[in-house]
Amino acid sequence: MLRSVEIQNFGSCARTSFDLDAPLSALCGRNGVGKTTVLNAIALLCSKTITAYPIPTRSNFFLRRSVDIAGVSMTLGLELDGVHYDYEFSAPDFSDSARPVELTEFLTAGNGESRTSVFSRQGESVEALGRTDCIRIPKLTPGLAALISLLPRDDPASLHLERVRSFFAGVRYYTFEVDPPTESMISARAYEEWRDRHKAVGEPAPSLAMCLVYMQQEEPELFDELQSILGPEGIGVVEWIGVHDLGSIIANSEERWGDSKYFMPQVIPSRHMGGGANSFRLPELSVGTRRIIQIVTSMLFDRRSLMLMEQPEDSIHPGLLRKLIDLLRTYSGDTQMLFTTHSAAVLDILEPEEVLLATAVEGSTEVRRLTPDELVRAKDFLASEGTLSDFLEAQDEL
Amino acid sequence: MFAILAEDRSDAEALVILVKRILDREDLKIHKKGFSGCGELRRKAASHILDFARQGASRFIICHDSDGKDPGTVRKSVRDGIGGKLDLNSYRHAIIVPVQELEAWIIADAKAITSAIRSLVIADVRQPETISSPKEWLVAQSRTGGKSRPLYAPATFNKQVAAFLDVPKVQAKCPSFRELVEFVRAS
Repeated sequence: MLRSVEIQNFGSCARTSFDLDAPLSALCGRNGVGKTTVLNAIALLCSKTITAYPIPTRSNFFLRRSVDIAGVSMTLGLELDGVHYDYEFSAPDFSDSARPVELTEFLTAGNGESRTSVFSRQGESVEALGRTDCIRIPKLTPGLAALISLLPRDDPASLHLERVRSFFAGVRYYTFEVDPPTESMISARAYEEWRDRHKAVGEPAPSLAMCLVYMQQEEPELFDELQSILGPEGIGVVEWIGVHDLGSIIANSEERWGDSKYFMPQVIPSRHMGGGANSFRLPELSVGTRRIIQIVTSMLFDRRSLMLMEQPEDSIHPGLLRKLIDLLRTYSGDTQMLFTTHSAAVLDILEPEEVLLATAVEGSTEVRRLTPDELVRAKDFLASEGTLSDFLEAQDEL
Repeated sequence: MFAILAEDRSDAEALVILVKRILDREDLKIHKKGFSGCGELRRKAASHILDFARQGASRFIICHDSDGKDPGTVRKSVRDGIGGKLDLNSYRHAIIVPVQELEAWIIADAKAITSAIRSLVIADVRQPETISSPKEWLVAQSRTGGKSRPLYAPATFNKQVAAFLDVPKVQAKCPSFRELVEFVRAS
């Protein structure tokens, strides 16, 4: 579980630090205070430090269109299998030619005062737990990834490194699509190619449709769970969800699409909704229905260590939100959830301990949990007919 | 410390600025809560008064438009609504009822409106509280001269105009504003 975050020099996060105490946390605050920047920073650090690809610099073409990690310093505190880890990463400002291009990384493990250095890296030189000699690694390769490649599995540092890598690999940032998906059918060939890569190297599903096909084909129990969550006994947004195998239909038609087999996910919306018990393809569903299906599918299929989500409430009816947030909370034991929200309806479902307040102070993002005094007042306020969103709004800066 | 409770967020924001202007204290710390209408204010204000008091607020301004009703009746209705949940008399407070709407105070100073929005010039109104719907009137005025869209959006501009209002002028034209000034200064 992610326990603490410190971010320096990343977008609006000049010096942003906060703790997380709940498996489900909502980051709330006005537009533009830096909520998305915080999620981006966490996702970027976790994704860039677990592969052996060089840390990108400003001269890197990819990063001209992305977020620059140059000059950034971050520390993530993790609680994994009862051990507390602090992973610190600093990248120099690559544009400053006077300074050496040296990455700095530290990983410590332990509880309370008893801390052990798993590895410390300065430039190309790495000191690892249980080793007297320094290990040399390429100057822009993340030390975490490099050591996992270099050290044997029974090395004293390997268990710690693998725990942290595994958590980082399980972090994913979900913006959720706004435009309707263009893909309503998937050719068997495209599916099989992706499926093999997914099984071999964990390549994420490129679309909701692909996720659904995979779950139905490879993990029918998981697909049953999805149906049960979305169906009449669960959230109640669909009557039925399934995947049609179109192979025979296309083979018998005059139109030949080059592949003899296609999969097409289909949904019969709840009888309380429009549609008259007809089945619909994914692009034909309302934005809100599709979003709920996407959130639940991602939650089940991805099995992430940490889901970073942008406003999961968008386009969803407040009545359904309660069920959705309850569901996310239920699953947050295995998958930690951190999401942004602007919704009073969402805040009113949450516990005060689950809220993180984001503000901009002199242009810099600040994030904090409610203070002990605020928690006591919030609970008294809730007990006297108030709502959490009302309480939080009134805690605005004076 | 003051706490302001108003029918909507923009009224609360404008009142914060007005209280600071009346006392000429830009650094004043003021708690505020804007509700979503008068029903919510009557229903929920008590919880906020209790919470603001715990945070050190000692003077409470509760603002509710009269919206065409008799101000005395509105004041009693607000008092009864909040008083059912706490003893309002235990808190130093004023229930301010702008006659019709808070925008009457805005209209009282045409020069302040132009200072906040340069391209908007409205006629001087001697008795703003006689206009039946000041909000609509102000928006309609800002649309004259062949403009396709109104220049004045109350939720955006009320607090901006409040920063320029000539307090003695508004006090002279709007008796309900005078009550606010007297309560704030007496505090």
